[in-house]
Amino acid sequence: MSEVFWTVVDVLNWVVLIYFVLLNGVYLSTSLFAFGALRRYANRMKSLDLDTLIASAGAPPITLVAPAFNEEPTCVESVRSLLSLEYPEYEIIVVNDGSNDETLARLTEAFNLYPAARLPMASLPAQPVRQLLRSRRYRNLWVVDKENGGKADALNAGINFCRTPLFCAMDADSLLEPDALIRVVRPFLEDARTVAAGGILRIANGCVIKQGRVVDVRLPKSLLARFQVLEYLRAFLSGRMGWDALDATLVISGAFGVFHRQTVVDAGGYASDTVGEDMELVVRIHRHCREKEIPYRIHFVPDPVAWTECPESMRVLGRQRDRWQRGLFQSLTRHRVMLLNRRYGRAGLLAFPYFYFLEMWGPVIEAAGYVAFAAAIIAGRADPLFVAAFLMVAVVLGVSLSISAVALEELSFRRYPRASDLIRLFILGVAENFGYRQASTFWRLKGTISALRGVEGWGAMTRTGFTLVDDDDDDR
Amino acid sequence: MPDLATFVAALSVRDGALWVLALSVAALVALSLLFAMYTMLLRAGHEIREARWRRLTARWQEPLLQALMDPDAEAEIHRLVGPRERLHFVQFALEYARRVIGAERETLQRLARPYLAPLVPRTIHRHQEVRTRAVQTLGALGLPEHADAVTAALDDPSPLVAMVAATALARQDDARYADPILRRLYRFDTWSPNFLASMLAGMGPDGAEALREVMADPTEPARVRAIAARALAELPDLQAGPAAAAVVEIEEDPDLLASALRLLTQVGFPQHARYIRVRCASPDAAVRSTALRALGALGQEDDMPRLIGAMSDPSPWVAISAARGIHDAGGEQLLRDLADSEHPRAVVARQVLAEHGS
Repeated sequence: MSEVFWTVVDVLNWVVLIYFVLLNGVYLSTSLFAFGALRRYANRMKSLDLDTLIASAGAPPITLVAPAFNEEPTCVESVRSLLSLEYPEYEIIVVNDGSNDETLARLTEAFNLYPAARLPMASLPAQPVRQLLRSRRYRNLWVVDKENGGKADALNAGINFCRTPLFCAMDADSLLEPDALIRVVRPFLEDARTVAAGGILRIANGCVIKQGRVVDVRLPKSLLARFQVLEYLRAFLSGRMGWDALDATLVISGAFGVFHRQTVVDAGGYASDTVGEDMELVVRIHRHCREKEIPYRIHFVPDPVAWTECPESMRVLGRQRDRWQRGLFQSLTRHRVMLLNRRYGRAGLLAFPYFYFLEMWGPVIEAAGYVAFAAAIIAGRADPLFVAAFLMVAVVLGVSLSISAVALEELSFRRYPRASDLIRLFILGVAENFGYRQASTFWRLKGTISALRGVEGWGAMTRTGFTLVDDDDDDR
Repeated sequence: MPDLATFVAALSVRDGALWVLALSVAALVALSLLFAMYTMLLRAGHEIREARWRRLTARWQEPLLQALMDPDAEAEIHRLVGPRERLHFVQFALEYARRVIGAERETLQRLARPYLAPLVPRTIHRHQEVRTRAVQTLGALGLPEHADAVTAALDDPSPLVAMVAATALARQDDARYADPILRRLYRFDTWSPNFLASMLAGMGPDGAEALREVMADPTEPARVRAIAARALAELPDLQAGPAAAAVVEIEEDPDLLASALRLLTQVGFPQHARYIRVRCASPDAAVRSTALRALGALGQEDDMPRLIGAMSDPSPWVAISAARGIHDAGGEQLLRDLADSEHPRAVVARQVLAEHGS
């Protein structure tokens, strides 16, 4: 029995080692692709004054659809930031998803809303709409007040009232940079086959915000939030940029993505029976376009920025990661037909297997590996060769990848103006391997188990609101 | 070397693997450190360049503002541009040129002109980015002197360079550039038609004749003709009505039809309504929708029942266009009655009334 147990432990250890090699191999590959793609992108932006081009002519009208559920602390500030975007023609539809706090009252008071008529242009499934409100002060601001149905349901309700060729799905608590729409819309102009494009999410905790704009980029004070800054840089600049270079984008963040309205309507809109509606929609668009043989492109654009508030407590962060993992699980199992299927192109042959085997089952393998590794060490059966290999692929390669993500940031956008911030990020790249990464694995494992058990629901996300300064606080 | 070979040969497989791992870890640590150093060097390089740029702009800004107000002050600027700073000055002028028009833009072009010649060879540089940058700068500051280089860039192997050239030429309000641009539209087949139409409309009334020819030419691809029609609608070109009516009468491509109908809405005459009525029954919702809007603008009293009927069209887009058509045809009171009625699309009437502040 004991011999069988240790054989299992040995096998597990090797499985985990191979998993880490594969995982970090993919990260390394996407980082290398991202490096080339970001260099090309930065050069392209330097050599082309496309922003002026777009702002002056031909920019397609966009509707911003922002679902809000109990966003009382941040909703007014967020809508103000949307109203100050630099874009020739856009509408804002805030969808109050049956909030039971003062979200609607605060919006009504701040923007002088009144009941108005508007015909729905599509009939995606959504909970009943109670009333439509329009701002007297800002004619492009509408609020759809509806029964609670979750984020996907709220987005569908907003899309139903959208009458522009493109819509931007976002979180009501996110802050878009003023030129974010101009930048994210570029792929739609350059390639008429583009059906979706996502921007980058950055963490607003610790930043100074004035009149709905981030005016001073700083690292958060909380260590937990700082780890997430690094995580987001790695995920977007190394990960999504790399997948975009491979033309295999499978995820567009729900907090900031622009979609071709008719394609989304034809694909059936957002699925309200998943907590990962953003990924599920992108995967479904791939399927829809491939199966109907519609030429299409889905892009990640690295410089349009949406600032978002990240959790600063372990409890809330754990719930968020649990939900993300369940969303991933639901999206991938629902569309398993794409797995290694040539019909779905690079999305089916490259991105889907990566997400399916390494991201979806990764936490199970990694958690089992930690247990087996600890057991082998404690029992004194750990092979020094194995320990060295494990440390190399699990920690040292991980540190290299994190540091390369910071290098990519510096190479491209340089959002953190203080050199000390860069040094802090390097240190975080080492420190995250001792505690934070294991906690993250634990939360994702919980998410996988919850998904297998069929658990639903979002879990509450406590908002503290952004750090604001008044007009006369310029020198702070 | 023999010592190393002997050492390696003497290692057991296990020790050999350990050495490989140890060396790999060392290499990765070194790689991490290199990444970190590279990042810090990048930061330092950026800061040095930014500091230099700040110094240069601080030196040029005040004299430039003077020169924009007083042409006699232009000579002072040239005295402040060192031999190695010429292209920096061009960059500086370009940033201002993006924000101004008319006489101020001409002043900037005059100021930059002596320094533009080195950019001409760059329009055929092997790197696409360098070519794009050069064409963009010459297009903004060097026309018409460098028109040959910019026009030649329309045939650049990179569609991006060609697009930058086309955009620069289209902004010149000069009929000479219309034909070369229109003949290269096929190169921009992935670009959004609306974007291309706006770019072409940038040529202004001088480009209208060439646009009309392309729209009317059945040998041109339907997509290109539709783009020309959209550009004419954006201008709007008051002479394009007959050509647009001919397209609506004969053609069957939905995109071309919708574009021509949109153009007719703006520049057509009541006698064109008979072609438009036929399209109100098109199986394509976009064509129906634009036809109803055009009918509202050009139709007669007896077209009102057709417009009211179309408010019950299964497509909400068509219903809204019909209601807008009713409004355009002077049927505001009719819309009020519909808005207060039990009509299933009464909300459309209310919406259109609200759009017009009623």
